[in-house]
Amino acid sequence: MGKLLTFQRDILVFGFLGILCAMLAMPRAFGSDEAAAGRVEVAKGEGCSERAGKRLPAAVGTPVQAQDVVMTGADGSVGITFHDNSLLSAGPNSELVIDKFVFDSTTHKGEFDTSLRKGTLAVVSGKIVKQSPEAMRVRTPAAIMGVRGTEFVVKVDDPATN
Amino acid sequence: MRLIKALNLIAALLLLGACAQWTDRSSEPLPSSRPQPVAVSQPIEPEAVLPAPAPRNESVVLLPKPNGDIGGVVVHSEGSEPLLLNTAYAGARIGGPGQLQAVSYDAETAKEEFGEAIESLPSRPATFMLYFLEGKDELTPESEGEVARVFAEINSRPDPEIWIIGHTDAVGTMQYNDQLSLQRAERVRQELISRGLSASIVEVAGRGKREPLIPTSEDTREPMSRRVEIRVR
Repeated sequence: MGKLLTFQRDILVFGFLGILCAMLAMPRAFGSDEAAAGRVEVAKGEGCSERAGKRLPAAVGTPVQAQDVVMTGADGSVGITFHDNSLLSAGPNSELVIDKFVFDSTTHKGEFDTSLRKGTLAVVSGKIVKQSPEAMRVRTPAAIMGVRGTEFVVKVDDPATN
Repeated sequence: MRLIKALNLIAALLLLGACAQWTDRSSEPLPSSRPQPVAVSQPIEPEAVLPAPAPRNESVVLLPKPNGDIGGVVVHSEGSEPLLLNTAYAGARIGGPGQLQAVSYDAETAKEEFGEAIESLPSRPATFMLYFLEGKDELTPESEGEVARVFAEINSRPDPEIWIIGHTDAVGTMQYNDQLSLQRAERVRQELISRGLSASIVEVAGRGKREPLIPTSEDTREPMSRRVEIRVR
């Protein structure tokens, strides 16, 4: 009986700790919308967004900004809409880095760099590319794609799992 | 009781590290910093020191747009000429430096390999146009009716986000039109907020005369270009 009580207490303590951690991490990592480049619009299965070493679930509505790393699990996929109307989505087992996003909503000039470390990525280009072709670039470990206004998909096999 | 303890530990780990199942590069053991013995008498050939780069397997495929446009992607890879993909399902495979080759896909193989990523693309924004009386930030009577359709679209989306973008015709200076277009966008924002829209989901921008609906010569009055675009996404 005593042990059962200990078990219940432990669950309570750990549950409380978990909630506390989530609350502490939230405003620091995702509270400010100032630098946001886009927003998660689709989230299926396991998906995570890493910012400054902190990982949070990539839920619908989560802001995305430059330097974020979006990661998905074996059953996960994440779709993001950016401020210039570019759409990106990462399929399962993917790791996508938002290297740079600069967009002037008046002139539509900007620059958009992303890197797919592994996994699959679908891209629909937006206003930045319409204004300046190849101002959007997608990097992989072995190539760089200059985007001239289009929809395309990219796949990087992870050598570690081959 | 050991089992319960173990379950307890698993629950704690799950709660604390919601996303920790992916490899954390920073937690990998660092290579030993102890000095390694070096065989000075037998210099190692440079070829032996630099291992050949691990073979890669990467691919890119161009998709047709829903409206039939194709566009293009230029693939650059070390040691290969850049490759332009500009037809539907044109693809490239990269096996490492100097190993860039053109390949062609079809709808079925592209779906097989990339289906899950494609299906997770967010839905395209819905666009509405509201028109203004000349030189003013007042809506035309017809556009008043369009506002109801904007609200219907907003209400049909689970987590909507709204961009309001003002435009002008070519009459006047760049600066004047930048300001007028922003004023029009702001006017629509106020209007939508007064009709119950949450201010936190709306962004405004003014494009001035850069994106006329009907391109004209400088200083030509064009009512179709005096508009505000509302993107719901």
